[in-house]
Amino acid sequence: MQDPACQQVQEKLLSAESVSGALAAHLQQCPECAALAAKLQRLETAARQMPEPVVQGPSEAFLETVRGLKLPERGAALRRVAWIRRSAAAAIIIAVGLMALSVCLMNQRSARADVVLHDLVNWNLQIGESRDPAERQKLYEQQVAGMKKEISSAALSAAEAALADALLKNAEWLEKVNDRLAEAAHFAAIAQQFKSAGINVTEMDALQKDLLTRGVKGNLQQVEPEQLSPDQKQQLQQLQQQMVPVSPAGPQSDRNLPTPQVGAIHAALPAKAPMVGNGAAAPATVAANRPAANAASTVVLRMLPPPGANNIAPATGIVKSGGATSSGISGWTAMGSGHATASSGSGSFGSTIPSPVTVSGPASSSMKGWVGNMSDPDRDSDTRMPMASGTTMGNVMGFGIPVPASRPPAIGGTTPDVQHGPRNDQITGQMISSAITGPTAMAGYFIPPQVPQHGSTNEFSPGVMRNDGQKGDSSGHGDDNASHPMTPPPSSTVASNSQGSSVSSLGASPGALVAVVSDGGVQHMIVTGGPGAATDMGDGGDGNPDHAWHHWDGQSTGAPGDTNGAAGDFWTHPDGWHWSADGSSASTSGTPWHGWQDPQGTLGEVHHATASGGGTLAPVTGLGAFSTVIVPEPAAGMIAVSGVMFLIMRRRRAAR
Amino acid sequence: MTQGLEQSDPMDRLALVKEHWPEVYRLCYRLSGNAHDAEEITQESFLRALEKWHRFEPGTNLRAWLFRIATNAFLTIKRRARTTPMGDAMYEVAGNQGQVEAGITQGELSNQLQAAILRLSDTQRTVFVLRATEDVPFSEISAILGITETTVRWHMSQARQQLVKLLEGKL
Repeated sequence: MQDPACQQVQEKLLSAESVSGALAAHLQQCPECAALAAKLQRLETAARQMPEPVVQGPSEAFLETVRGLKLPERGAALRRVAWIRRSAAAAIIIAVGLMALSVCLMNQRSARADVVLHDLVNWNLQIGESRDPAERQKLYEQQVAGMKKEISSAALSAAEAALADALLKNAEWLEKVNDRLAEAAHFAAIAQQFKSAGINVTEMDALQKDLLTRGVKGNLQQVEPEQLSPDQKQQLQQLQQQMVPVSPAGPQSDRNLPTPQVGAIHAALPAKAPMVGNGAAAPATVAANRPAANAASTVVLRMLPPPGANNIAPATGIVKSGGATSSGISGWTAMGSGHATASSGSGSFGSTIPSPVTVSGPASSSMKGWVGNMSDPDRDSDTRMPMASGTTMGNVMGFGIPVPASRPPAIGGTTPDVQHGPRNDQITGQMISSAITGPTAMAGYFIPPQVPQHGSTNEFSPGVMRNDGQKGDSSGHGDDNASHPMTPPPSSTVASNSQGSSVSSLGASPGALVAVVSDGGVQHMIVTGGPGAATDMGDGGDGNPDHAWHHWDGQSTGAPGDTNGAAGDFWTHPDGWHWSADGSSASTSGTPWHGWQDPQGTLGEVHHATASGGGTLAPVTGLGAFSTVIVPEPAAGMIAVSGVMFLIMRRRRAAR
Repeated sequence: MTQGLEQSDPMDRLALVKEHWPEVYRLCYRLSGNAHDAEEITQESFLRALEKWHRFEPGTNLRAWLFRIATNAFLTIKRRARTTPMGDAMYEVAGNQGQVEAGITQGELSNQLQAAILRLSDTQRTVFVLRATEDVPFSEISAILGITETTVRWHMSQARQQLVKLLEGKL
């Protein structure tokens, strides 16, 4: 237990206006406090000596704006006008003044409310994150008077006042409890209140997000379900279900996506829903193939690169980061790091990849791909890919979304939606963040033959993919691709990647290249089977043909390669996700095409050796895991959280 | 200059911007952590200042007034955009500046401090930057943020604790 005198001194040191020699007497006899004082002194010194930013002064354009700015007029001129005009002007001025005043007051109130609520939320979270009752009490008592004063002095709207009151009460309650589940429930309730407050939506969203990530998720992760009563377990489950969607937290949490959850997700899908097996289906593929019955699904794609893998080669720009360290990244491999802005890229993809760019520096760690929330139910409108500003998503990923070159997507912090697609059911082309290289994988296909791409497949002719039950319907009913066999990709499909290796050709293989991955100079190609190749695509070692995700047979029922007796399956496989299903996760020798896998982080396993059926493929020796799941709503929002929780629970059980 | 501005003389408003740009920009840079945002927030700040120029009371602290506007602009923009600090300006270290006891140069320490500052919450960061780098007294910070001085002290305390923790072994 800390000496109360020391505690008092340290509190004074920490909150002092400047760290001075005050309290010298105590510091001389207390090494601990003296050490803190010394640290704070160095901190102050370091702060003063922080390098100065390069100040370039205001730009000419900005100065021009300033020049043209109309400043509020003073009243002097009014004295020179006639009485009537003066009266009229005065009336106008009074009206305008009143309006300005009200606007001003509103702004002040808004700004003030924002600060107060922000402080209250942070205060609550700080108390909630402390597990030491004494510290909780201290945090509460130190601030409660100040917070109350702030609330009382701020002109809050009714909704804001209600929020402030809830937060104040919650802080008081937090001081007295130590119950993760109950605290999560409280924070969830407040977050919900924020959500429904309907005030200043953007800022409330931000605060709500803080409440969810730190208050709810942070507590839920610490809950030990084994120790819960049945009622509490039910509450836990309800909390998980009620939680609003939270973006995946990044590669680490993605990597922790647990098997049971994936299984549950797959199990929840309609029988004929086109599942994406172990990975590489582009969202466009999934969405386009989604039958109406599965319209409520949300596709979540996650790229799971090995740690540190942030290499990405640019395609022709559409989206790029605004940050200098990632300024070379373009292509609409979305890279949202809070600064992603839509550039004026052409929206087209060249047949070659420009000089590879390796993203490095601090920004690379925050490089985010995006997770598609393909919730377009009928596929007759734009598919929207919400990417909330500042949200952390999976690491760099790129995947295919049909984007007409004439209509490039926009993505970015303030323009979060990626829109794409022609307003019909046809996918007329395209592409994909074909240029992702490095250990991150990429799935790119649906590239029209005229746009040979790194990672392109040419497997579908424009117009093939339909979900309207007509020819080309790939939803598992009928004549999928019956007259549109895969066409061999051009020999120049693949360009070099940032690792210095390259895959030069697919030759005449009917296999469609879906992903090219490079890991330490070893290139890995992920290919699909084409008509006639299905039987050769291997069984993954468990006696069942066409394991994993590679199946697009276009075969008649029961034909070789048919995975489930129904024609026209696309990337569908009952067992999907079957790494280690045969007890040997890398046992592809002799039985090519084991599929890919392992969202658990054991990356780099062998997934594909060879494929026959017309061409020679480069050996695939590993890849960055690439998980694709289809999640029935509302599970989508919970997957990141529940995924982590499942893993924690499982590990704890295993430990016992 | 301020008198001229009262008459809305375009030249004076330019002088105001040019004269105070560096200090406002520097504050915005410290708060945002990158040049791009700093530029944007600085511009926004001056536009707001000019639009509200008639509210400025001559004879009072112009720098504090501008800082208040800049801070509010930062908080507004930051919360709106949920800006994540990027590495573009994070930060060019201006060489070694002497050795500190922990074996890390002062320049390195300062650089790491800047990165650590960006991990503070918005309010804590604002308080710390205003106080530690801009030497704004607590009373003014209180006015700038519209919170009590006690709260300012608390934020400062939290910020210092957090920074000491983040820079563990380097201070």
